[in-house]
Amino acid sequence: MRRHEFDVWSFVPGAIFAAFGLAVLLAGVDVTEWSWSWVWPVPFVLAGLILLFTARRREPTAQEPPPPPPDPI
Amino acid sequence: MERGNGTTQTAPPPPPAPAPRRRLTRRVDDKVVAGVASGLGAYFDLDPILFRIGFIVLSLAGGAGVIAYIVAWIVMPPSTGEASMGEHAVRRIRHRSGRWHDVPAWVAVALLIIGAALVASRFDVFHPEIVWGAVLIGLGVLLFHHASTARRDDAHPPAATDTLMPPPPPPTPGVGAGAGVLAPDDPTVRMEPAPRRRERSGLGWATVGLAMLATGVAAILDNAHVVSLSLAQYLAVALVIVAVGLLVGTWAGRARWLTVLGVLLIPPIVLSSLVIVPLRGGFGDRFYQPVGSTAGPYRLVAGNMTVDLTRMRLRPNSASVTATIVAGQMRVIVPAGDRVMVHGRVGAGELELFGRWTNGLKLDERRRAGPVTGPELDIGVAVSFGQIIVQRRGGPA
Repeated sequence: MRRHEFDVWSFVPGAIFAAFGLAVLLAGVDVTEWSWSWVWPVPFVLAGLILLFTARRREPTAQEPPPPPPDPI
Repeated sequence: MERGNGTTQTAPPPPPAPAPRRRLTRRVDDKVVAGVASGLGAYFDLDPILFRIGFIVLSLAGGAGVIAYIVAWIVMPPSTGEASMGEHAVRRIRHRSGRWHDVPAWVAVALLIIGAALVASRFDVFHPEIVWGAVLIGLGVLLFHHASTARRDDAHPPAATDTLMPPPPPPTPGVGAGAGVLAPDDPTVRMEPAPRRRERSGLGWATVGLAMLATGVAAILDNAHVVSLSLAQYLAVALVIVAVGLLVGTWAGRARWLTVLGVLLIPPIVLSSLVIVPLRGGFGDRFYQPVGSTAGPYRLVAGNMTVDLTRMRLRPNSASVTATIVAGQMRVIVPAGDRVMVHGRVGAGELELFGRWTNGLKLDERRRAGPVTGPELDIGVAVSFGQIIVQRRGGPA
């Protein structure tokens, strides 16, 4: 496997699945007893974070060189 | 340029080539799932992430995003120049019936009307009809666009500037550009860049194999009484392995499609948390009529079970009975004049104890009936998905 740049599209679902799976596996969390009024905003928050993260990565990092000074003649 | 002697005459500049027609395609070279969002982003000059978020939000609001994505997947051709899946299907149908050519237009009109009616009937923003109506309208518009494009292409075959041309045949002696064969360096030929092929990564399948291995090992350990796992925990083992694969893919390898696998695992985990009884007992209909002082446990995986306790002997001691079904209906008939204590549990469904009816998730009720003192018939019944009815002989009272 080749190393590559940080891939947010793999990281975010991986982190969510890990948290959810470990909660069920180790803590015996019962999903049916969750309060869904607290659950449904989570995807929106995550989607917003991904959007912000992706937008920040697309910002140009190198500044354009300043224009040359006008010809005195 | 020179004119006359020692000069050459300049040919008038060729007319500017028409701007290439922008095509709505799936960007298979920049895809997360199928390249639909990337294609829409390229077509509308917008960031594909906006479309991805739109699909996610629509998926949460009634599941329409999934449908819309699948429809777009079918309708949009890939950027490699091949026909879309929908076009393939239409060609097959046209091949069988020559009258299919006009069908997409009226299908699109019907979809538009149905979609508009659904939207007009409801103005609640989050109501599913709104979403489905919007999907139908979008589908109709896409079909309109698709049908009109197909007709235009039929009437005016696309110019060489619009399509990805295959490499020209080798020049034949005596046959040149004037004979209609485009030279390889013909400026009118727009050679689209070859799609960037990503390096194949074995991370995804390795993760799937590891998940299967881990689940099997967990089952063996459970059977050996080393650990005790529920069905939800078995599935959680697989989900955790999928998560590990995705997290590894964050920095090395590439296995984004594991996200789909993880999403598919979540509903079974949620449902399996409602499985409150052992997965034992077989399938079909069962009838039990015990006569001793103890009975059961009676178990069934799926089907209907009737337990008639009217012949159980309570005196001089108390009696007990246990029965479980994973999915199905359980009916328990108790003696009319005896003291009875019932403990009923339902994962998802209905519970009726002596005429008292409840429904929902994770139902757990106890009810006592009959004389205050004396031997007691202790009944424990549970159904994961389905219905429990406990009634006295001859009626619920």
